[in-house]
Order: sequence, then C-alpha cells, then structure tokens
Amino acid sequence: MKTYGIRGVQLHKNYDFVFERKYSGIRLYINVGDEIKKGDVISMGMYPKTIFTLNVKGMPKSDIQVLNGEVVTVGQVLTSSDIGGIKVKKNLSPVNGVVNFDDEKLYITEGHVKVSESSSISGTVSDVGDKTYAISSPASSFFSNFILGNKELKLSSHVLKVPDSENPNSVVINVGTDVTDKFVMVRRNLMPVLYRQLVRLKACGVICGGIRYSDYMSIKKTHPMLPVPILVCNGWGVRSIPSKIYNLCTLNRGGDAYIQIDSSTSRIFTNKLFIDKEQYVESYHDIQKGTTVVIPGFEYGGKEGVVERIIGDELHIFTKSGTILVVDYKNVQVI
Amino acid sequence: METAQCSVIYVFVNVQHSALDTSFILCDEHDQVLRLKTFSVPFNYNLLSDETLASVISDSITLLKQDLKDIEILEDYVLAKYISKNKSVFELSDLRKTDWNFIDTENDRFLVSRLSELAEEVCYVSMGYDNWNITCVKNGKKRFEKNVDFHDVEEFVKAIDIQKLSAFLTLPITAVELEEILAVLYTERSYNYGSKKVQDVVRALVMMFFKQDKMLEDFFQTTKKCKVCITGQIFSLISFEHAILSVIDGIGAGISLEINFFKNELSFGFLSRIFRNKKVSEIVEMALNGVACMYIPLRYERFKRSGTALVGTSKNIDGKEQFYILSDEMRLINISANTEVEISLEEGVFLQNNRSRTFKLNLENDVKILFDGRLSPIIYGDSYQNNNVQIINWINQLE
Repeated sequence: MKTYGIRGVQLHKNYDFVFERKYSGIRLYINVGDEIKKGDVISMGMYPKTIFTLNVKGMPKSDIQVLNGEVVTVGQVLTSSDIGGIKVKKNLSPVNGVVNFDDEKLYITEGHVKVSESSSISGTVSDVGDKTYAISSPASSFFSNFILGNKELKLSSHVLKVPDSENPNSVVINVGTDVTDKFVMVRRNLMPVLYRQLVRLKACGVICGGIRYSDYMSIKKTHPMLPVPILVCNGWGVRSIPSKIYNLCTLNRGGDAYIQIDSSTSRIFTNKLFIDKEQYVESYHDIQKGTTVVIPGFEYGGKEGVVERIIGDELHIFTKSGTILVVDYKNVQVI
Repeated sequence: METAQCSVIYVFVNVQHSALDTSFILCDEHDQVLRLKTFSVPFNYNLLSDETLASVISDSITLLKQDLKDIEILEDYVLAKYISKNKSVFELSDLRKTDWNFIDTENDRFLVSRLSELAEEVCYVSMGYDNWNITCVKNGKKRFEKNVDFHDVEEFVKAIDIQKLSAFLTLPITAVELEEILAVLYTERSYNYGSKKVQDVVRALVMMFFKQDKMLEDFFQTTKKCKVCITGQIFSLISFEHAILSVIDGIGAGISLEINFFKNELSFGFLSRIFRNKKVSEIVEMALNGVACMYIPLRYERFKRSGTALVGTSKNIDGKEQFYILSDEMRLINISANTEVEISLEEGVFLQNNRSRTFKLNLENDVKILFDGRLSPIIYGDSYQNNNVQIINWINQLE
C-alpha cells in the first residue's frame, strides 16, 4: 500500500495518483465508507507563491541577462546595460525562481506552497445528496465571521432551527410563522426590512451571508441596541452564506445544532462535518493543451492565458497580451 | 569564507485571511542576531492547520539553508515559534495544543514607549488595523504623539473623515462605497490583490493620516533631516511606490527624509519583545535589514522651471553610472553598497538648508535615493481625475 503525506502527516488512505496530466488546485481524499480519524488529511494541494515583477518596458532585449524560462537564484544579474562604457542600470534577482519576460515586464515565479485540510472530527464518511459528504461525529463546529449586536449571549447555547418556509432565502416571513426563540438563516445579505420583522417577532438571532455597511447603519438608527444579534458569516457587502453552514442548516433539519457565542466570535455546532464535493471539484482541475489558466500574483487579479504545450512540469502559456510565458504547473490556477 | 553557526531560530508567523508571512531571526548560541528573513505567501485561512504551518516553516528553513551560504544552521537548532494573535483570525483548537507562543502584533506600545531613547530626529508611524500612531522624537524628547485606537468597525469608519479622504482619491468612489471598503478593510484585514479601489483608499488614508495636525506640520517644518520609520499592516496593502508617494506627499514639508519601511520585514513589536534588553537603536537597525529610501527634494529659483535639474554619478567597483533628473520629474535610483555618489545641481536648483552646488554621498549599504524634482506646490484634491493623471505619472517615474 502506498501512503502519501506531507511533512510527517501521513495520509491514511490508498489512492492512485495518475499523473497523465498536470493538476492544479486542491483535491479531496475521502470516499463513502472511509473511517476518518481526527487530524487525518482530507484534502491536499498546491497554492502558487508570489510572483516578483520588474519593469523592462523600453529596455532592449540584449540588456536582459537571463533567458526566458531560466532558473535564477537570489542576487543573480537580471538586467544590465552599458552606454558608452558607463554602466547605467543593474537589477539583481530578489528571489530564487523561474524567469519569464515579455515586452513590458520580467517575472520571477517563486514556486508553490503545499496546503492540506485535516478533519476536525472522527467518524464515517457518508453521502448526503449528490453534492455533499458528511462525517458523523459527536461534535464539529464552524465559525461565523463576526457578530453584530447583543454580545452578552456569551457561551449560551440555542437550538438552531431554519424557519418553516421552504425557501430560507426569502426575506418575507409569513404571518403566523413562529420564529420566537429561534435563529433565522438568511442565505445572502441581511436587509433592514427583514431585521425589523425579526425584532417584532422576537427571534433569537439571525445568521446571514453578509450585510451592507449602509444597511447596518440604517438598522442601527431604528434599533441602536440590536436586540436580535446578527451572526455574519462572510463579511460586509452582498455575500452568500458558506456552503458548510448552509448545509448544516438545511441538511441537518431535525437534528440538533447549537450556537455558541464567545465575545466577538461565534461557533455553530453540529454532530456532522459536511464537505461540499463541488467546492473541491471546482478547485481541482487537470491541465491539458487548451486549458485556460490564470497565473496569480500579477496586477488586477493575475495574468490569463491558454496552455499551448506541456513539457515535463513546464506549461507554455499563450497570454492574452500575446506573449508566451513558461510557468511551472503548480503556479497556475485553472479558471 | 567563514561561516557563523546558527543554533536558535525565532520564527514569527503572521496569519491573515489570505496571506501568511513567516519571519525568521537566526541567532547564535549567545542570542546574537545573525540574519533576518521574511517570506510572504498568498494563503487561504480556511486551510490553516498545524500541519500546513509545519510544512511552510520547514520549506522556508530549507530555503534559508540554501540562501544563506555564510551561516551554518546546526542540526539540533532550537525553533522558538511565535504566532500572531490576530483577533480577526480565530485560533484553531488544534494550534492551541502545540508549542506556539501567541503574541499581539498590533497595538504594540512597547517600542513606542522607548522611542525617546533615540537621539536623532525620528518620526515613527504605525498604521495597524486597531491602532494608528505617530510619534515624533527630537534630541531625546517626544515632540509630538498622536495615538488613535479603534475598538470596533464603527469607531474605525467614524474616525475617518470621508469628505477629506475623497480629496486624495483617484477613482470615483461614493461615500457609501467608501464606508463599505473601510468596514471590509477593518474587519477582514486581508490583502486584496485585484482591487484598485482598495489600494486607492489605503493610499489616500495614509496621506490623510499625515495631514491631520498643525503640530505635526510644525515638527516637520522645524526639522532639517528626519528619519521616518514606517510600520503597520495597512502598508502591506499598497505597493512600495504608492506607499512612498503617500508618505512624502503626506508629510509634504519638502525636507530631506530617510524613509525606512518595515512592510515585509519583522514587525517592531516582535523584535522588541524578543530582544527587550537591547537598545532601541539596535532594534531599529536590526529590523531595517533591507533597503532604506533617502528622499531628497529639489527646490528651484524662479527662473529655473525646465530642463535638467541634477546630474549625478555613482561609482563603485562595477564601474560608473550616470543619471539625470529633469525638473518636474521624480526618480528613484538604486545604489548598491560601497558606492560613492557625486551630485551636481544645475544653475537655479538647490536643496533645503544647503546652498552648495555639488555634494558627495558615501554609501556603505544598499540604498534607494528618491530625487523629487517636482515643481511645488503639489496639489491634491481638485478632482479625482486630476489626482489620477498626476499619480499615474509619478508612479511611472518611480517604477
């Protein structure tokens, strides 16, 4: 049996790595029926490291002292030029990495960082619908981003129930819906109109994906003390609730879940750890000729291009600006 | 080549939502610092675990061993691990069990309280997410101190004069949008590589922070040469060029400055905690460990408003290098260690407090010199379009 792991953390599973193609992103390593122990690696992958840039716009190609695709070390001369015997400019590499350049900039790609996610609980993997795995255990927890309002609920527990409405995204609570002493989940951002309704209905709290700062200030005008605490999962603005918490609220209907509030943070407890398969499918891709990739670290969210050739670990990427960059496959993200 | 032996490595991990900085201090058996090094990687906070950190640290130490040929890292080195206690990033229960020391990276007043030990004219600026501080010291006495604490997001947003901030922007950002960007900045404390708007707001924030007090203006007006120490995570959000522009135009006094950024280096707080027995000047020197930037503004007589303003020659063992500065132009020149720089000013151009036409600089360390030949007055705030044109032009000159 082969075992794979990183830096002393062994993966307790037998998986076949078939590197017919190059892969990018983070991959999930669990299957239905697997017995998972707390601390086992359940996902693993590579994240690209920073890319350093140097402006070479207008510089003659002959002044660039390195070749496209060359591996450079710290202190190596990248560019230098002589005009009339006087040394005008000299740039040294600040990092170890692979060099690429086009007409405007020279890039040094520094490598990659390994990342892994461990299970926070022990249990057996089961299928919950097509898109989700669950690991059953006596306790697992998720955090919300921050809490607005009544923080005096310290360490108190409340049963979490989704409102009876089939659509938890609905901002209208039907007359007669009993939300008293219940936490209400809003799938996206919380609107002031819903908050005022929840105050009237004496809800215990509200969990939302995000909240606009201006909406928050508008709520504060009418309810300065925020009688219904707001657990914001993903921050300010129009944001969705994380899939883990959404699954917890919808899939765990009927099971118990608890909210623990501790000064400025909150945890939502359940006895199941839900894992969104699609999240990993989306983040883990094979790379082949024609795959559109982005090289992160560049201005404005990275440089986009199409894979032209794969030679060993090298990808030759035809970028939108019309140049070809040679980059290690670990340094790209598939889009 | 003689090699020094490293037996203790202090590692400081600063965790943000989307970035991970690991700083290493390599010391010998007597706790003498041999080298400092910082690595920064984009990071997904959700993937933070003890194993991931162990992997990042182990990779970084391998890199250190490759890079630092003059330092031998002993097989049985001691690794002292410190991790940032950042209130926006929750501590994982798994991490609590391991041998991490949690330390506050923000609100660190330890060094500030000892700044008056410095004999020079120093302006220390720290802009974290929870605390902003400017402390000015002259001849061993504190001349100006302003400290602003933000306990929650509302305090942070309220403390910022949105109308004043808008005057320094280069993009059309509405007041509502500005408030939201500030709220996100305070709460998430993360890098946002793609967002030009966040960069613009942060640059404007830095400028505004300098332009807030008459006493601070007076300090710079009565100062001949000032050492500016810049630190804090707010500066990590903008590029070096934007940061330097916001500092010099924020100070705006037209005096020579020595600007030291601690952006990607070890935080003062960490160093001053570990080496509490050392002098402040030693800690500053230690934290520098990089390239300082000397800022030299040029002044003009009335008749001199165009043409070449300055001609310089730098000479080291690699040869001679010549550079020119035109009037109304800024230029950032990188000078390597042990270089002799000769500057000669054209007719009608002079420096503050120095009427000589030529002067020499002998530089022992690597340094960046920023010559600012822009014609004064430098005005921000006519409109965001004007700011945009000006700043793009200046940033291009700095790159």
